[in-house]
Amino acid sequence: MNSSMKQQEALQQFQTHFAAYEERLNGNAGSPDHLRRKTAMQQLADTGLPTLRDEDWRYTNLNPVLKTGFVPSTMPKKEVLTIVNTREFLPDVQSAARLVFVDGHFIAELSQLTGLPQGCTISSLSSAVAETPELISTAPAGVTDSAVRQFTLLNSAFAEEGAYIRAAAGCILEDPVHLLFLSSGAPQPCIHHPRIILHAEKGSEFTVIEQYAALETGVHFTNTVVESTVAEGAHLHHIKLQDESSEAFHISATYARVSRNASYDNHYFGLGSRLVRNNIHAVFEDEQAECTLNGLFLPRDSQHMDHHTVIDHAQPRCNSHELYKGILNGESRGVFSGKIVVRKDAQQTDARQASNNLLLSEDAVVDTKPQLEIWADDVKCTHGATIGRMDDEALFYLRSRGIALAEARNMLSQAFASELVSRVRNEALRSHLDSLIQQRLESSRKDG
Amino acid sequence: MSSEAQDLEKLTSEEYKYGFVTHIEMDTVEKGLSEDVIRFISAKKEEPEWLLEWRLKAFRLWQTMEEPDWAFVDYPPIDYQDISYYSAPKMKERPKSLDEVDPELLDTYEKLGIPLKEQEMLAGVAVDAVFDSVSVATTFKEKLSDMGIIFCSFSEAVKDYPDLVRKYLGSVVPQGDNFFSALNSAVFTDGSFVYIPKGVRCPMELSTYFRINSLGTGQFERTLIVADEDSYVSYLEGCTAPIRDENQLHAAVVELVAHDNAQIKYSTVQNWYPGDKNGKGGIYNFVTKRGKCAGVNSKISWTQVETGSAITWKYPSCILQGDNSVGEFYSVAVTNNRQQADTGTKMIHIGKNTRSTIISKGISAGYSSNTYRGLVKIMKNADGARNFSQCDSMLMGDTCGAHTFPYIENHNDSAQMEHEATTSKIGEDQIFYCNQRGISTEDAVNMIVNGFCKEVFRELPMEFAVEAQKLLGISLEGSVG
Repeated sequence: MNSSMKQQEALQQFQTHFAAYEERLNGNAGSPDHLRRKTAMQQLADTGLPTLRDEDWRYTNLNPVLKTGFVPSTMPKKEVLTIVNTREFLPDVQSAARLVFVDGHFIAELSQLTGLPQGCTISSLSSAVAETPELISTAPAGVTDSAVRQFTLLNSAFAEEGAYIRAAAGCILEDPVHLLFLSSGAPQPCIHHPRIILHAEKGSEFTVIEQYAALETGVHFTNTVVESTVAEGAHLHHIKLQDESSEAFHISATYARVSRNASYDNHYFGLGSRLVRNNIHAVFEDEQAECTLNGLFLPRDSQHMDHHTVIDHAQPRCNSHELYKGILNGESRGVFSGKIVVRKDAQQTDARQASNNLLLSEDAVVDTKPQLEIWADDVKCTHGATIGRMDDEALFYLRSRGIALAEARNMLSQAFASELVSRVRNEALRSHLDSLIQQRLESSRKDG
Repeated sequence: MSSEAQDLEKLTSEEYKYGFVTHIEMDTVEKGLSEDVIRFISAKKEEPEWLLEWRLKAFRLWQTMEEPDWAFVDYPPIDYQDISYYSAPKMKERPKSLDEVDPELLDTYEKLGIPLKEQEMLAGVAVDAVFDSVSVATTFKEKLSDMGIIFCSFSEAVKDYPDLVRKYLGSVVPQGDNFFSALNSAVFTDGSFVYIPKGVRCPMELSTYFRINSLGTGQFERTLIVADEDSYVSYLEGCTAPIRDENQLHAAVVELVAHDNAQIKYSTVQNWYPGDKNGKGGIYNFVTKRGKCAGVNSKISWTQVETGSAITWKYPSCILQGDNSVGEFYSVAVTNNRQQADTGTKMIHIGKNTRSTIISKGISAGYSSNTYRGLVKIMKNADGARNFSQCDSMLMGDTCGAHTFPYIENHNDSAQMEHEATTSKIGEDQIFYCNQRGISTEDAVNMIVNGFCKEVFRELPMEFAVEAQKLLGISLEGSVG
């Protein structure tokens, strides 16, 4: 079994890293924090890394990731930091605070954490952990069912840095908090494990923009875990913008627990990386909660973008809406697997899910798996999936009005994407997204 | 308890109507599976050497395989050594006419509503009745053979048409295709064989009634239907089984081959013993059904009504190889009490301008679980391929489950595919509307459910459509959520 050999080798490599990490601890090896990491590492060794034979990985081959020998990332050089202009990554978007990470390391000089409203805690994870060591748990809620539990465990074993945001009861933050993860294109392929913890307490509301970008091209592996809890009546808006280098690997797991009358929404925009695997696992912990998952991904060349979502209607009278769209070019491959689980007694659930995919080239591939698992009878659940190329009639309509073919195709793709952009509340961010998508579609056109 | 709940209680506790045991002496082999058992079956059936080798190859493959566990069903592990793999009614020689058939056997079919004796005169349906493993009687054979149509039991086909069997056996479902097809390939005892020659339109619906009768025997049927160029055939398959306390395994394989411009319509009503209210007993129905549209403009259409079996694990599929070929799948799956069904289809688009339609209706009641699992795969060269899938589920009561797991894989940009699914229950307003007009709740539910399944029922041949509606009524009347 060639493929499982690779999983074995990669696992051994991670264990070697872990042993090296333990040696540096110098007597702290017995701390509860470290024992927790050890447990995670042990569980990972017991589970083993996934192969194509795993149902959840049948469309995503991890071999390119596993055969790259990654090293733990090191602190970026000072000269790298001097050239960074953090404003350029999200121009015109007013942010309440900004945390900047380069190769997974928190860079205080580039971050902006002053003038925070009362009741709001925003800090790097390392400083939050210094006060509350138990912040990083081995197993976030939902991890056991998660298709990427192995990578969550890996993150739990190694995570040292990331972001911690807590809005106290009633605290409302108008402007978004900007989390910027940059990679410096270090010569050796490095791996980092950002951990983001978001707590929206009773009646609070805030927006997080989680952004990944590259300073230089290069191979690296980002393995992120986001844990969010949204307490009663709170609202958490989560936007993720992923535009890493085209050689990078990105695996992420986002866990959300949503309480009574609360809402969680996640808007994902995927442009970068060679291989992306995103997992979102949202659980309703009480009645009348709401969850929205939107996603737009635009792979080109040989990019591979895989999205797995689970919405667990564990409680009655909750609503969920999900819309994922892919615009695929080149020889890229898009995967969508969305699962809605309606538990016994979760009556009066209203769940909608749609996956629409537009193929712009002959060689693009889409695999989609919209799933419903329903154990209650008084529910409204629908899902739909479409895959196809551009509508010839729509193109003809535009061309008959004197619009050139290329321009007409562009207009239609843009229109297809705009449904998701329009759902983002922040206007400046919307226009930034629009121009990013426009750029992507135009450059793909030139390539194609 | 409301009156509705009482109705539900009364009707869902209805006994299985087709449960009775026919007492006929059986010629049964010792339990267990080994090369010797396979040699015994092969010798018993006086098979040629190549078929024995074929079986042994399947058996060796099977030994290296693991039982699949991905289906959304739950059952205790099956001990494959605790099953008897051959059981045939003891008979000195094959009957020449219906009069020679054991009257008790005929009586069994009578109770099931297929009076063999009347068939010749009335129904116009040729029946190849399979009692456990060996064909008992075949009617209308002569009439069909005048047209060059071959419709006989599998063992006869092996003797009389070895070239045809050898050419097509395993060409759609190879021995090593999956765990259960490998098992079937090793131990299959009988089944049906149909060959429609070039340009012939089969004038009647061909039909087989399968029965599982003997305690502790598995049923391993093998059906092979070949439609040569420009031909047409409609085949009906119906299943009922007597009441049993022990779970019985049924692992059948059905292979269809359609050449240029040929059409095959395959309809199934499956009403095997589903086990009692507490999930005790019942048939495990693990079936591999697959059709290959080998020629251009060919068409294969599967229609199934699944109301029986404790566990159903079945995915009638179409390989759309010829350009412009068409695959269809129409399914109604009903589960009640502790039944579990994981069923659906696979449509593999290989040829250009291939089209497929999937209509699946799942109805779950009691403590049952009903899953649709389907794959639509469009290969790189399938330009202009088109698929439409619709999967609707209806839940009756809050203790059952309805699940939809479609897999859609597209490798061609000119392909168009759509998938839709909905889940609902019978609306109180709909019931109220009917009640208001003097229609009892029971009748109203029946009407609504039948309406829900109409798209599938209208694909069934007349005889089956009537039976299907009756079965649905028996399974679900009054189960208002």
